[in-house]
Amino acid sequence: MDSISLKPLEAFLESFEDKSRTSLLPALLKAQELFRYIPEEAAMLISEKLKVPPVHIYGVIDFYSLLHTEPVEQHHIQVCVSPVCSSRGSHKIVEALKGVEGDRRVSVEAVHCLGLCTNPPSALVNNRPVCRINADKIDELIEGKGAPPVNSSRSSHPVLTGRFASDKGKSLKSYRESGGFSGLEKALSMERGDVIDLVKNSGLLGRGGAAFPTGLKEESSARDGNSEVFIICNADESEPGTFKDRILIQKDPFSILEGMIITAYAVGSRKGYIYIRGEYASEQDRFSRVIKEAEEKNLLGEGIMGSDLNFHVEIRSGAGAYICGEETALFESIEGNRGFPRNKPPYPVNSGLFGKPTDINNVETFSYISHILSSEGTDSADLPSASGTRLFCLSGDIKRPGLYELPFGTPLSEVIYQWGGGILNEGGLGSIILGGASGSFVPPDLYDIPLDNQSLKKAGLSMGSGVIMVFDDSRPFLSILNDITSFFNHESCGKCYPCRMGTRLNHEIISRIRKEGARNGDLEKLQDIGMTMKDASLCGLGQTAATAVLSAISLEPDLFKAEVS
Amino acid sequence: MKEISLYIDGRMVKCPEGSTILEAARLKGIEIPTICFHESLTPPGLCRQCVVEVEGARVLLPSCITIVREGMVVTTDSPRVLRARKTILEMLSATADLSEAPELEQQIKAFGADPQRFRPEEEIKTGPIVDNPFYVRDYGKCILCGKCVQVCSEEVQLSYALTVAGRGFDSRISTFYGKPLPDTSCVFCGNCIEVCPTGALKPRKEFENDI
Ligand SMILES: Cc1cc2nc3c(=O)[nH]c(=O)nc-3n(C[C@H](O)[C@H](O)[C@H](O)COP(=O)(O)O)c2cc1C
Ligand code: SF4
Ligand code: SF4
Ligand code: FES
Ligand code: FES
Repeated sequence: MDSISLKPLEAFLESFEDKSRTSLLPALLKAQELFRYIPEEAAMLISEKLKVPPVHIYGVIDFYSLLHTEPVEQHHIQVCVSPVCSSRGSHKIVEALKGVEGDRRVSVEAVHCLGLCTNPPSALVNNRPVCRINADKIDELIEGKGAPPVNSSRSSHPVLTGRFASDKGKSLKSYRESGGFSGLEKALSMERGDVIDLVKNSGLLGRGGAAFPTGLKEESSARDGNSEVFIICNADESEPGTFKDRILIQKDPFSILEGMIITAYAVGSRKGYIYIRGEYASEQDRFSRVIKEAEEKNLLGEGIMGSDLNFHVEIRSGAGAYICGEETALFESIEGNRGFPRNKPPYPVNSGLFGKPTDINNVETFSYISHILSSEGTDSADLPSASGTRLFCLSGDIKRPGLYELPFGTPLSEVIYQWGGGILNEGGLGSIILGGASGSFVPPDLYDIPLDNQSLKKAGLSMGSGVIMVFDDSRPFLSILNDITSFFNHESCGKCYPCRMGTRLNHEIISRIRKEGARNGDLEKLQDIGMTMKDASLCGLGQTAATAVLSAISLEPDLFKAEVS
Repeated sequence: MKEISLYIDGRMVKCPEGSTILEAARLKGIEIPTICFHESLTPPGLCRQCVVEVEGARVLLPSCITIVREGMVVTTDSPRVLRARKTILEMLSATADLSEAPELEQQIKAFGADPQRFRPEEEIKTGPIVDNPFYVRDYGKCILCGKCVQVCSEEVQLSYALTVAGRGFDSRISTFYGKPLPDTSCVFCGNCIEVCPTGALKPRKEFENDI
């Protein structure tokens, strides 16, 4: 290879405080940015400086979608082919882009949900979001022209979104004027154990998908302040149909940071990380400015707000791997490894990042913690319901897709019709997916189900990260399933057998049925694969990867059976 | 050391605290199949062939790494368990050539798995890699158990010549940028050949006798 200069990379590597494996992913992302791929020489240099075996580095590069061993063209377009964008024709756009010849040639990649689902179909043009793209306007797309992402929201009881309308989350100044950091001030005046009790008693359940009691996790990860404990904010948001964390980072980032600092005080942590998916470049920028400003105002660092609390936050970028949202895979990623989930136990609260107790929460969860603390002492009747509100990501064939903050227990149909305005273009309702690609099709007799964890659990459903995808009656089940199984086929980490092989076979069978109709035995195959993944997979990805297929089988079994002649 | 009592397939088993379910079962002669487990390596818990049903658990648990608890109720042959084992073997047969993996062939028989069930219509054949005087690597036989990487890295040799590369179904064992073995840090110690359960890695002599 001719004449690349390793100098800028070398300078970058020298700037690391920690010259060890934990700096591997940042180093590789830098090399990718500098050279548009990672040449062997660069990998060797990184190996030498960070003391990591070369072969390990190759394994890591080859794991992450945003890292390449061959150069990618200067002009790079990533088009979302997840269900919502796909149903609006994004596959055609990929084909059209691939057909472009000559000096307008671009490198095109079909990717999965970019968190830009309310204005579909969406793409990243050289890492910049472009929405409502169109196969007939390819030239504009190549130039990066299109609609901007929509970040608006509506709410009956704005708590998390309370600062959105008047943009109070914009700066540290306006954040503080609207009550920001009063929660932290309050926390610092309390005993640490009392802060934990307050979160526990609030009934807050994690918003990243698993709905685990947040206070309980705080309690079990809390240490005496003399040993290491880590706080991690999980902003890897990649579940198809989810965009709430992206908007929260854009519109009220200080509330997330405040929640992290409060939690650091409660559990005795001195170091926190926020892991933001690699595709969220502008959110990474936004948050790094937030950290900087907070450091300048003594809200981060040593002796925060005049107390004896010392706490630092570091941003880590993902590199294109949905699995790294799984908490233990995320630890591996920060540690500089392939994003392979760990077997549990041990649980993160005992042995998480670098083997230390770790309290990891979702973006929305941390933001909510800041509101719990700042509203403490106010009349509890002000809170909309015992368990409060949550963010719903409504997208698909709906008149008003968007982010909705609504109380738990709001009926599904109310979200779709009252808030979302019903089906687009007066079409009929075809299907609803709750919980994203790892969620299920909702049976029609449950369209009025109250969206609270108990009711959903009883019905065998889950809200996951708050995704509601709505499809009109022109969208075939099998097309939606084809996109979903393609997603899991792409995102399985490949560590454990049921999921590594099951995600591929599932996708092969579904796409064949979609093209040619079902054959004898297909239904049983899908059931055996699906149940094996659900029962025997190592982590939550494999355990839920077949949920949509299995739910479709129970709703429309005939689709998966050979026609009897 | 404290003794733990539990029930496996209805039989009471006593074993030392800290044992795995697999160890406890073996004490009583109860057979649980394994693939990725190796006595002298850290169990990676990735093949999931050793899963069992534990009362109160939402999913099946891998017996090779699940530590016993007092009063635990374990079933090693429930319909859920058998379905998972059979399906794993059927999927494995569709993705790797198991003709030199006698233990797996025996499991296929024992669980009544149909090796043809998920076979693709067009089989993708990858030929053996012969790039050095000592070993042959035939990844068409590889089941990605990861043992070769384990012995090549931290756990034994510290040579760091091999890694799992790729992701998901397209995962594979590779060297640094896919280089021929002699161009890597491989010292030809033979540890990987020793642990490979499927004949994907073997001495060149044996390979040449085969053809
Ligand atoms: C495949 C997979 C992907 C996940 N992705 C995310 C994610 O992007 N963001 C997130 O907060 N949690 C994600 N989770 C859940 C995390 O493992 C973890 O439960 C969560 O971060 C805990 O935060 P919470 O208690 O606030 O929900 C994912 C889980 C799995 C199995
Ligand atoms: S379930 Fe899938 S994603 Fe999770 S460890 Fe297994 S292969 Fe990886
Ligand atoms: S080459 Fe052999 S030891 Fe290595 S992963 Fe494949 S089957 Fe296992
Ligand atoms: S951005 Fe396309 S589905 Fe989310
Ligand atoms: S033997 Fe492979 S998971 Fe237990």
